[in-house]
Amino acid sequence: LAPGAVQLALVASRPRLLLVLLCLWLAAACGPCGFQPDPGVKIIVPAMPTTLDWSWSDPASWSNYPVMLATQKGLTMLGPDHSVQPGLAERWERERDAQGREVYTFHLRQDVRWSDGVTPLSAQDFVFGWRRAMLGRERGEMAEIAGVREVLELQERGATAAELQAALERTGVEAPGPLTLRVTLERPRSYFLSRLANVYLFFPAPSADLAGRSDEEIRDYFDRPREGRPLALGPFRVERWDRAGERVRLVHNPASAFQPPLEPGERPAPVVTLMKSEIGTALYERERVDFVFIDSALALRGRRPEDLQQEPLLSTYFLAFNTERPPLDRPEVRRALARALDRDAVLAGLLPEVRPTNVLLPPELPGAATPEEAAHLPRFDRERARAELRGVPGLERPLRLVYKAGDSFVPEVAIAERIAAQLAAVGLTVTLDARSDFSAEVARRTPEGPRAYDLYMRRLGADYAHPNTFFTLFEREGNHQTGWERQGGGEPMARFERLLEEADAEADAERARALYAQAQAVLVGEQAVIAPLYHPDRYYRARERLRGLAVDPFNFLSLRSLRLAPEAEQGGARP
Amino acid sequence: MRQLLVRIGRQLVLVPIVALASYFLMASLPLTTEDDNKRQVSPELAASYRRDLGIGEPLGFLRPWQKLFRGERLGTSAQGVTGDELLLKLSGSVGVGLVALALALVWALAFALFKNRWRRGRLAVLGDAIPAMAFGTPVFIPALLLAPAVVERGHLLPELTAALVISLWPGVFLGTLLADALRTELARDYVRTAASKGLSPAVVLRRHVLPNVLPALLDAIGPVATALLAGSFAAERVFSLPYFGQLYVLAVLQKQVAVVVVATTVFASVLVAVSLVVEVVRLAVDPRAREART
Repeated sequence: LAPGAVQLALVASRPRLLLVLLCLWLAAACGPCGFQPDPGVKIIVPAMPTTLDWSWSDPASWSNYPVMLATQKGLTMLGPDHSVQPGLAERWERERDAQGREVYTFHLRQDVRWSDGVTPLSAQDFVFGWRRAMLGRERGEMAEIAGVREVLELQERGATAAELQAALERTGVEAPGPLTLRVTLERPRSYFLSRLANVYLFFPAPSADLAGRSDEEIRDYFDRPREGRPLALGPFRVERWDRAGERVRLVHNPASAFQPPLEPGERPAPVVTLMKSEIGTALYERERVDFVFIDSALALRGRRPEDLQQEPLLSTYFLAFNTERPPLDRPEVRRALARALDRDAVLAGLLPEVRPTNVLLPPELPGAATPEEAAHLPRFDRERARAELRGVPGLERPLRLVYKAGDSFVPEVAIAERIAAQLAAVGLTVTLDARSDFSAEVARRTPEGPRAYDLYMRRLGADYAHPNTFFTLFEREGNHQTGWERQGGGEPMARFERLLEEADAEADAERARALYAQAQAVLVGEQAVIAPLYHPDRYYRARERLRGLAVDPFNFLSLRSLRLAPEAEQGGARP
Repeated sequence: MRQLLVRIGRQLVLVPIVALASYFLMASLPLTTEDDNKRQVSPELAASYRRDLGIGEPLGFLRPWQKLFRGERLGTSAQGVTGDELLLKLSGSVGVGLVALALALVWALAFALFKNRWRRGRLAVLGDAIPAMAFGTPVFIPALLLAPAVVERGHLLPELTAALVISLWPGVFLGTLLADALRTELARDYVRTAASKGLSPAVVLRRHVLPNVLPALLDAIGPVATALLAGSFAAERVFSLPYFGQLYVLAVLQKQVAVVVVATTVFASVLVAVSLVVEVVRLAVDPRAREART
């Protein structure tokens, strides 16, 4: 055959070929295959929700927060200074009952409607939702409410449904009136109001929709959105959750009593899609999405994008000591190590801005220690550290510093290397060990008994805006893995927990603050269980046309104030 | 005809075998071991495992299918699927797969023809280099290169690009087979006879040569369809396509065992359906197949 046969064959068969291709294209374009880009605001999130059932929740609850916070509201909310402000409750009273229990009476706002625009919010919605939460995956979070411990024990024992129901009705959550909610706590807890603002287990559930449904039906109600359900109270409601597509589509809730504050010309965002993508940053660069977290500290080196934004987190990154292994079993050695660290030098140049610290509680937190109190905690003083370490036995042994392997918005590798260099300056040898099994490695014990690491680094983030959230990790039952509960025969830990107990029960904010400061002094100063290094910030990129789209101090995407800039100023994502 | 029915029967019997094998494999998973943290699953997942797989019940293996046909959900509320959703996702993947199959055939024909043309020229090396490159490059590499340009663009661009990417390897594979068959056929006497009678080269190729190489092509369609489907799993993830491949992968990751049983069987059924279609096409285009079976 002549060489031209190839082209001729193709030309001759082209019409039919084109017809076949056209048919296939149309077949693919019809109905379910005609996947078009979602209109509206597109946001890349690090993970998809594990459930949309906020009362039932999930241990991996952090991934559910962006949706929950956009669609729901708590009895309280936080002001710009992280102070507790009225939310769904317009006011409340706090008192002690005859048994010394703390009783809150919340008076709900009268103008709040669920997203169908008809159903009013009622106190029964809280009773219904909270009782479900007492049976849910994170029921331990409700343990402070009177009577909940009995419910938890009954569940552990495998009690019957009737027994459980009876116990639930005895718990300290009641609705004496349609707009009055009474909550009785087992013991006074000064952080309770802060938790109500953030922890989504305390959000109400639409009882009018859910009453009489089976457990499975209720779970489907939340997790399989359809026909305007699940009802919402926040500025958005969930319209669709495409699990295979890894995207959640939120639509504006015009019935919400919590609309974003609109400036002249601004309007609420009608549609917001939260999506997961392996190529989120590339999509942002091509203007296909509108928001992306900066998940790697390395990405912040070099030239910084103009639309880079940051949020100071209520969070602390710290170095922890294994108090069970010599020479770190001596508090004076741990304090000397804390003094050997020049936090400014450790963090210099690693991030656009840093907030080095020697305290656990971030200064923006209500109830944080004063600068004078902070000055008493170990600070950088290399000469003093050298002097304190001189002649201490056991220092010739290399210390193993364990940290999380992988990319993070905390520059962990660089911090670890610089800590090793700074401790070398006071005569210590530190070996670095980046672990993908960080949590398991930190908990691993040697055959002799003590844990296998010497030092570890991790970030502690607040769950709510109260000092208590920073201390629970270091309590006897906390997952601190430092072994400090055995220090001094357990006396320092007992004193620490007593201080926390007093502070938690203290109604007076100033006295509570002073008690928390004392607890911090025991943990960071006297016992030097940890050496705080800095308060991390979260970096992200967002289009200028999106106003109020931010990250909150708890490291969660915040859509509550999201609105669109006037049309003339827009120039955002385009398909 | 009897032979054809036997062949079709052999294919069809694979579906219940896969269904049973995947069911009993999943049913034997020690998902509820309480003393091993790594194997522990949530109470909801454990409940759906027992409920959806009908563990311990007579004819329990029919339970996932029974639930699907009743329109009930398989798996947990947060990660499970219903029959409607499964069909919707499957139709998306089949759409992409069909486009990819068509593209693979185009690449195959083009590659075979060009390879024959380059056989004696300076470009002959391409006939070996292109397969080496195609076979040595995992699907996700071109997918990752192209994804930023098409994801979230709409107008079926991600779907078409995914189809393009997953069609390359099978296209070149088919093309290699086709090139060999084509070379053998082009050397036969009937080609010279047809050409000497004044038929144009294109007509000779289309009317006489291609029908004779089609059986070789059809033999390879089965493995190629498997490769296309397997490739679509990676491509769907990278191109953010919310179809069957993604659903399957996530069901495995999230331990939605009943969904895995059903999805595995559906996967096998798709391959069987491809084989059946190939048999029918063979019957239509290959007179020797018809003669052998009558």
